[in-house]
Amino acid sequence: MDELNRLPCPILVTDAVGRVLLPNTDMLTLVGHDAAHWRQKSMEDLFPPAGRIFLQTHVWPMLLRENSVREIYLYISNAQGERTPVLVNCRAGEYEHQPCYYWVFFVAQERSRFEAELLKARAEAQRSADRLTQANAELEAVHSQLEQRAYNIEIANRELAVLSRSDPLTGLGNRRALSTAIKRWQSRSDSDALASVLLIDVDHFKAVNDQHGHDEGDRVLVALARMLEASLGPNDLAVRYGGEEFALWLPSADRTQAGIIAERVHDGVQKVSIEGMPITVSIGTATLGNCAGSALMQQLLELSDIAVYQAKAAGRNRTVNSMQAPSVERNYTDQAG
Amino acid sequence: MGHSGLDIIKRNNVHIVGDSGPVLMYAHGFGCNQKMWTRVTPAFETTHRQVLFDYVGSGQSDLSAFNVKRYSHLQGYADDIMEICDALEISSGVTLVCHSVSSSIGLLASISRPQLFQRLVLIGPNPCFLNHPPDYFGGFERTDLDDLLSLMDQNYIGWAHYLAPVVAGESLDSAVAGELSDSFCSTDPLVARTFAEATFYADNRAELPLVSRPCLILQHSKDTLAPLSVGEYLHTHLKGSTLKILEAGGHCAHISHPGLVVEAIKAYIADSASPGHETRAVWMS
Repeated sequence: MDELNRLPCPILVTDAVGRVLLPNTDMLTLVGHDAAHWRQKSMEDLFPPAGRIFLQTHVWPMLLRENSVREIYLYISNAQGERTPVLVNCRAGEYEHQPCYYWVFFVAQERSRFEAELLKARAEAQRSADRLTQANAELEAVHSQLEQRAYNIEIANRELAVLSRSDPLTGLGNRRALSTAIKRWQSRSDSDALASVLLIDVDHFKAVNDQHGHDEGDRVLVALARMLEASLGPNDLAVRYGGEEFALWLPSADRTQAGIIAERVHDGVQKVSIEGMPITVSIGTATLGNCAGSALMQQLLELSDIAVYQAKAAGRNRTVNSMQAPSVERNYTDQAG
Repeated sequence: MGHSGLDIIKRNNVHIVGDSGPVLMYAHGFGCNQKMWTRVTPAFETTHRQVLFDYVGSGQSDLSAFNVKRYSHLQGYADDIMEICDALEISSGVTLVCHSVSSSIGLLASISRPQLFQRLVLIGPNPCFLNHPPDYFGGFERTDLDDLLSLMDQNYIGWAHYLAPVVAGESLDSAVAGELSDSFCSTDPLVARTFAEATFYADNRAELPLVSRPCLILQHSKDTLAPLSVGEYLHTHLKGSTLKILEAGGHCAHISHPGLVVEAIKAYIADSASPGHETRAVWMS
């Protein structure tokens, strides 16, 4: 079959079970040895083990069923064990009046390189995608850290806000807390609603500090703060207004109700004593309507301040309502003057 | 498993040839499907009820039923066999004819459900393709099997890899391979790779002593995928087995030499149906 030798590719003829009948010249160039060496050998010997399995599990079943296979990708090994990638076509035919198979091989170095490049490029793309996924995960982690920090800062801010509205000694609110409470009430109440403020000043507090020391003075203030808190309703607010001055904010309380609270404070104060001596306070009250608008707080404080002054002037240990003459006020006790 | 019998019949593309007689069930090998039995089945058409099927992932089976976890181990394929028998309400008397890797699958099924099977015929079996020197030579080194997977990649699985979108995580859309040539019996890359790995990395040697059903081992005289020593090994470790070596090269005697296979099966059925048959090895020419 010299015709086979003229064809420009490796060709192999095998019998029905794959025994080599004839390799052409190009085939021998590819795999080495001479034709006699290969004759009657199994064509499987041309392939590495993986190729043999592939032949048995894929190529032969198809060949036996369909009588041909096309474009099978395999590696062929030569005498030196070097592997050459090949594309294989095969078709059943006749050789010397016997059934046979014609195997045609196309050396596929280029395709192999091309595929390797393709695989490499794809692997690189996959790595990039993985890196992006990784980077994204890191970004998300950083983002959630930032969120956590923002949250912590928010908490700290709230704590600061509380601190800025409170008095460190007594834990009561300060003027700012009072202002906030009054504004909030104003925004939620009708214009004809009434509210009251009680301004409470400890009588002779300077003497307490001088005689018993500032620690004792502080103790009295803290005790007074607790007592004031205890005498308030749920919507009322006690704040430390100045050194020994407290203010009670009584939303929706009219003059009568303010008077009742004032009496309760005078009673309560008697339980706060210094070395067995109860202290006393002077109280000024003021009651105004929400119609006073933004000036409400200032007016309430001015009026109650005047009333406290009047209570002091009238002999202390008493309450003066800003609308009443000091003489109307009853004197609670006589211990302090 | 939540499947009705009809679902299973459809899932595994079950076909029945012949409507009376004992059950002959055929289990195809890796890379193949039930069509590979067409040269054997005519011989039993009048005497047997023959059950043909494709494993999930092979042939015309329902690809959507494929589950990587289940089919990563040969037991998953054995479950296919048992579920098909359940669907057909067959509970005993089955002669299971297995090709190649299906031999291991069939043995696993017979261990799970001995009463279902009367006997097994194993064509070109190999319980472990890897060499484990010095006691066992399955025929291949690890690198050979790795090479095989890459060869499969290059022949058809790979194209799906090239075409598949780059994704985060390992998954392949089976639709990608849908348009590829169907000349190989299974063209779905994920399925083919899963089956290949389950097949070629399997080691079922430890299960052999647990087999209680009689087996006919049909070995090819020169088979790359099952060296003669493997046949001997199986014969030694499968109690009640018969070893016959077919004068047939290659790995697919039921396609290349169907007459020899038919003859061997018929003789074995006749022989084991008669009382007092014994374990032996025979060289058939």
